[in-house]
Amino acid sequence: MLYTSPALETLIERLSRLPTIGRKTAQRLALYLLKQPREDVVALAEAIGTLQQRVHTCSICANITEEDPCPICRDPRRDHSVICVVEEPNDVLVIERTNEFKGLYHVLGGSLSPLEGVGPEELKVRELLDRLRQDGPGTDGRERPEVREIILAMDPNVEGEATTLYLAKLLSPLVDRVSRIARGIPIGSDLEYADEATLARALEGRTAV
Amino acid sequence: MLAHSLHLQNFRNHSDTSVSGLAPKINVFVGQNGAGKTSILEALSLATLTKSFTTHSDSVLIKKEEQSLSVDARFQTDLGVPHNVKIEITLGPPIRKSIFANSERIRSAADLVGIAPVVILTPDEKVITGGGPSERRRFLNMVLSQASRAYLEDELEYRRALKQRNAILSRQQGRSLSYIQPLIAPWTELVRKHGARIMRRRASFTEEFRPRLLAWYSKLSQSREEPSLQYLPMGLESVATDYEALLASEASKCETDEIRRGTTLFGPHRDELLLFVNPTQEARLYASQGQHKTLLVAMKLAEFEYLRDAASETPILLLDDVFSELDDDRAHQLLDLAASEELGQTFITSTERSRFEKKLDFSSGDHAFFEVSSGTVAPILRGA
Ligand SMILES: [Zn+2]
Repeated sequence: MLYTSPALETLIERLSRLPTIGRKTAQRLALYLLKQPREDVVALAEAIGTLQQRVHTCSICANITEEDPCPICRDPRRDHSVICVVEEPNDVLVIERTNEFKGLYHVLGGSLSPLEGVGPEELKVRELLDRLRQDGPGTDGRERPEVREIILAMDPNVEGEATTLYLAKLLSPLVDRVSRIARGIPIGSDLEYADEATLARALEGRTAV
Repeated sequence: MLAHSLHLQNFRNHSDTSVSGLAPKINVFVGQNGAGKTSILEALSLATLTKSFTTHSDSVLIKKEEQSLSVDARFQTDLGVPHNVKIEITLGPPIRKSIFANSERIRSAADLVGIAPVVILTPDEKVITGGGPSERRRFLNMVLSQASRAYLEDELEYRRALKQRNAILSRQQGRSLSYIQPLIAPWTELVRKHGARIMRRRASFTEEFRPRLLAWYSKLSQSREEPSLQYLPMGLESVATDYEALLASEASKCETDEIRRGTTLFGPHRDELLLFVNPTQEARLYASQGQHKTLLVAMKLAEFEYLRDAASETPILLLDDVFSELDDDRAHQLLDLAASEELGQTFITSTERSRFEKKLDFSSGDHAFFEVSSGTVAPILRGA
């Protein structure tokens, strides 16, 4: 059904482009917003408006951050000799919540999927290789300690598996140890859905690839 | 496994159909063509295999001009535990399908398939004995996916890895081997890993299935044919049992061909399962029409028995419109078997009523009789 207000119709159309939101949900959200206090709606609009302005990706690990490099990459108490490679920024949050991992991260931005046109070039693989270059300062101009270990923590699905195999082969000659988190996570589920206890066990039980 | 009741909403031509009072042995659904009999079996197929046996498309199951369908199926396991499945399919785009088993959402087909095993026989199934290799691979997958969750998981991951590998081969078609090799290497490894496990299970299944097929065939037929099966990994007459090694050697042999043709040329998607009516006579080439029919029924009964043992649960038998295809002797034999203790709960659709009225005692409570007409189902009174 088309509404008589073009403004409302525009909002519904915009909202329904968001993932998991169908037209019906978009209509419900739009009509809900219409009834809310004006200041709440303005606050929401502002939050959305400044999102891309304030939030960037870290030039080292490609995680989302408001400062570059991100607080994790800048933290001297963390172990800079270990990098945990994940698919999405969300995975960093999930692993951080386990309090089991004190190293650094690298966010690939997805996994290999030729069907969707995603090859190594489309992921932050080159950036990862740059971080492993042993000699010379990093992009921030400072000397960086050598990376000795890589932990691969891809999603437990076919694409994550292929990405793990690809990276293991590529990175093994460059570091002392490449390991992967144990597949204690049910098949078909994303890292995001794994509960913290399972993931903590997975991090402990990582195996060399 | 026993189905107790079914509820279909906007499913094919059923707007709102409840079928309760299902009997523990034979349930006959009679009605004219297009009345909606097959839909009842399709709904059972959806609740057990997550898909219909007549179509790959979920959207065609939704009643015309409706947006969504739902199926509610209530089962009970052999041990008496309730098992309730609810499925909803909503037109998109994208089309959405949600499945709940005992109110919990199912994430992967592997979480449902095999819990309530089913054996399906329809006139379309005759391609198993008469058609090409892909039909028998489909048969292998149908049985093994229900018998082993690990097999289904391997099969799903294999197909995905194969698709991804083919995407590289077809898009980079004609590029040099040295360019393509590092790109396809991880996918090759996955195709090999899952492929080897699939092949190992197919090989041992063939060995376990052979005596069961022979036994059922002898039971059904007075003549002295000796049916058999032979599993040929990738169509090769191989006695190898190290499938990982076999896959690796085939993979390296066809590399250049693959790049030229843009598709994967090794793996269990090229397997063959030969079916013989006699030790040296392949059924596809030598079986008579009658032998094909007996062979197919014997395959299905052996499938029933294999699944019952592997899944530790009595399968449900779905016979869609098969009695019109069988001569009287074979039809009676099958009906007698279905009524006996050898088989479990059976669902039959048919356009003719008299055969079942004459043959089955509907007053005992073992069997139930339903009439289907233009999307409605009504019980026919027992013993009336
Ligand atoms: Zn960072």
